[in-house]
Formats: sequence, C-alpha cells, structure tokens
Amino acid sequence: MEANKLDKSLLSGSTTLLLLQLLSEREMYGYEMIETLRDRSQNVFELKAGTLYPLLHGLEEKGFLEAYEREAGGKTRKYYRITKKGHRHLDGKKEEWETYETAVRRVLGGPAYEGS
Amino acid sequence: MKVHEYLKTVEEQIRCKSIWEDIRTELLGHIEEDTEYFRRKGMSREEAVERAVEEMGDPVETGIELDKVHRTRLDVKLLLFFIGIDLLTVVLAIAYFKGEMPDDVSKYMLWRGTGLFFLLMFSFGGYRKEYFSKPYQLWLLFFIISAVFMMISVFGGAAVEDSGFHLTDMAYQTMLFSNVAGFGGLAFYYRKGGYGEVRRLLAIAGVVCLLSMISRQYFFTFMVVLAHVIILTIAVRRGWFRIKRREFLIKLWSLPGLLALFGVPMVYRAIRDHRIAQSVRKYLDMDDTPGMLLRLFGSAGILGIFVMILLIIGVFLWMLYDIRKLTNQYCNIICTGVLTAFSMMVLYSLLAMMGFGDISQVFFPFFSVNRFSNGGALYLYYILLGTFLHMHRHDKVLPKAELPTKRAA
Repeated sequence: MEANKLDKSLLSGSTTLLLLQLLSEREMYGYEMIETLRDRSQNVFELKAGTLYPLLHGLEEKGFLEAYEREAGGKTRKYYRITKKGHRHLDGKKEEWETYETAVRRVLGGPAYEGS
Repeated sequence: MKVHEYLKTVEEQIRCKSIWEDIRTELLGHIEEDTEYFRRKGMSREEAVERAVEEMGDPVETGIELDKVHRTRLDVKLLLFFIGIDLLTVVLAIAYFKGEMPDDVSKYMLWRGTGLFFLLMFSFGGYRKEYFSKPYQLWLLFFIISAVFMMISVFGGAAVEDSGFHLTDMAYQTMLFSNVAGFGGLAFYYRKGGYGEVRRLLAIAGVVCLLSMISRQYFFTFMVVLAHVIILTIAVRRGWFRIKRREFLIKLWSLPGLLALFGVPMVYRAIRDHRIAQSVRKYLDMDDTPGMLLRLFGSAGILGIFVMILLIIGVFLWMLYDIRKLTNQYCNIICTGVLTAFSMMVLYSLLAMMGFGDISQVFFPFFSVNRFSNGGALYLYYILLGTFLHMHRHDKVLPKAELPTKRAA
C-alpha cells in the first residue's frame, strides 16, 4: 500500500512508539530516523520532518529522550538516545499496542479468530 | 520556498527566542541531508533544495507544534507555595503586634511587599544570554550589588558588638552567601578548562572570603568558605575541569577542615561557660518567629516552632529533590547555589543563636521575621527565590550549548 493512501491518523497514534523503539536499538539523528522508519516499513511510514522534530523535542522535554551533539564526517549532528524513563514508557506503549492490535484483529477476524 | 524563508516562518511561531538557534541548526542540517539525497537522485542543486524544503512540511504547523513544547512555564504551584509561607509569617506578625504596629513593623510590611515584587520580577524576567556570556559582566554585577548592600549596611544596619563595624549587617552577609549562586554560574562558564581556570575560580572565591572577614566573625567567614568549597566540589565531581579530581578535592577540603579544627576549642569554651543556653534564651526574647509564637500561644507555641522547623526541613529536602530533576547543567548549578546559600543562612543563624555570631542577625529562610537591614536581607532572600523559580522555568527550554565555555568564547 502507498504511504499517502494510508490514513494518517493510524500512524499519528503510534509514532511515539515507533520512534522510541528505533532509539531503543541505537542512538540516531532526526534524518536517520525518518530513513530507517521508511525502509523498515517498506515506504509505508513517511514521516515529515515537521512532524518528527516537535515530537522529538516533546519526548526530550518529558525526559524520555536525551539529546547531544556529535561530529561525524565533518558535520555536527544532534543525536537522540532513549533514557531509562523512556524505556519504561516504551514497554507500556508496547503493551497498549498489543492489546489494541489483538482487539482489532478479533473484530476483523470475527468468530473464526476468537477460536484460533 | 527558500530555505531561509522556511526557517524564518518556523521561528516566527516560536515565542521562546533563546531556542531559535538550536532549532534552526537542527532543521538546516535536515534540509542539507535531504538536499544531498535528491542530488544523488540526479536533481540540480536548486531543484534538490526546493524539494528538500517541500519535504519538511508546513513551516507554520511545525513552528506552532515546537512553540507548544518550548513554552516557558512558571511553576505557579511553587510560586504560590513560597508566597503562602510568606503570608504565614506576615499573619503571625500582625497577630503579634495586634494592630499597634511599631514604625519598623509597618516598614517591614512594605519590605515584604517590595520583596514580593522582586520575587515576581526575577521569576518572570526574560532570559538574556548576553548577561552571562562574559564573566566580567558577572563580576561587575557582583561588585555593584556588593556596593549597594554595603551602603545599605552602613546607613541602615545596626552596629555589631565588639567589631564596631556596621558592615556585618545581615544584608551584606546574605549578599555574600547569595554570591554562591553566581559562583556556580562562573564555574559553569569555566568548565572544560584546566588548572588555570580552577585557580581563577579559587581567586574569585578568595576575594569573597576576604570580604567576609570584614565582619570579624570567625564562623561567618567559615560559612562563606564552606559554601564556595561545596559548589566547586560539585563542579569538579561533575568532571567539568581537566584536573586530577581526587588530588584537588583533598587539597580543597583541607582548608575548611583546618578551619573547623580551630573552631573546636571555641565551641568547647562556649559549652563550658554555658554561653549557648544563655544565647538561645536571648534569641527567644527577640521578636523573631519562635519568640513570637511562644508569647502568643504559650506552651502550644513550642508545637508551632516544631511544625515550622519541620516545614523548613521539608522545603529544603524538596528543593534538593527538585534540583536533581533539572536537566540543564547551568540551571542545576545555579539552583544548587541558591539552596547552598539558604543552607548557609540556616547554619550561620543556628551558630549565631548559640552565641557564635551576632544574635540580632539571625535569619532563617522561610521562617524568620527579619526586621533589620532596611529590608536588604529580605530582598536578597526574595531575589534568590526568584532566581530559583526563573531557572526552574527555563530548565527545559535553555539550549544545552547556549552558554559558551571560555574556550568557545
């Protein structure tokens, strides 16, 4: 499915979860996060920079992320890393997502899913 | 849309200007990365830049969202809490004097009002990085404030027994304690330096300690030394300087250690001569909060004193807990300086109560009804509280790299 055909509200609710998951694997800068998200989702999740940065700054403000500057290849980039508090939040979000996903599948799959 | 137009539009939506540069750098970096990507896809430079800006999304929406995150928020609950504690002491003073206010009590109410104005002024004041960008400005500020409070002390303060100096007045003493917060700011500025920068900080602390000696009160000077040593220790332990930490800290603490040894015989003599009990009784006879509570409520006043002591301890512990949550190192060290200044005031007041200082200058933050210094001590107390609230408010929005180090400058 093309990214622009996907209902945006489906993505917006889970962006925090996706970003925290990416950063739980390794430290990244903004551009890298967008690229990784696009590649891993096979072009389904096309996050705009204008959406990403306010979200990252908000997560930093809440203490879920920490930012620092690092020089690489002659460029100074702002990297983000997840904090302990962020890890705890991610675990909670994952549980929420799993409950939601199961519920949606149950509804979509009908009685057949219930029995499986 | 051109790059600068995009960035300008984003910035225009954000009210907190101190964050502009950080956001601009981050967004510009993103546009450059995206431009390179489109260049690799075969686009011309102009086309690639235009496409990269387009990919960023709506600048107004982005700016509005960033503004929501970076809005400075005054902790209203904290402000109301501080004002509430203040009102308690004001109500106590009104109840104690039962409307027959001596002239200095009316003045006291006026000072409280002016102090509250200072508190709000310092809490709401806008952050200006240029004030802190050069240490000589901090020095200048320090000397101006010193001069003002020396004048207040000379013309408004009470002479102190044995010394004959008016300069030992509480306003001047509080000023020297409150300098500790500024000293924390300087330590932050000189971070990433070596022994040279640390020596410079020691020289600054040395000047302040020498200024404190004018009071000819041994324990007061000891407190000033101790306060500066605490701040420098915190800075060194955070790894701000390229020095051998352990070796330096041992040398640093040898000074207050040595001074404390000199103090032991003084304390011993005071206990032997029963001076402590006499001095405490003398303090309770004064019109400060404990004495007023005792005279107003009799033996129930003891409970009141106990509750107020618990309140001060609670506020101090809470401040300590709150400082640990501050993520910005600059805000953190300034607030630590404020807490250290308050702690030194309490320690000095306890020592003065026990006869090791001038009893008339006892001032417990959040507790005392201080009526000396033409309100000078109160003003400094409020300024310190305002600074604490101000730093608290800016902690999340101050860019980490905004304040230059000596090297960067």
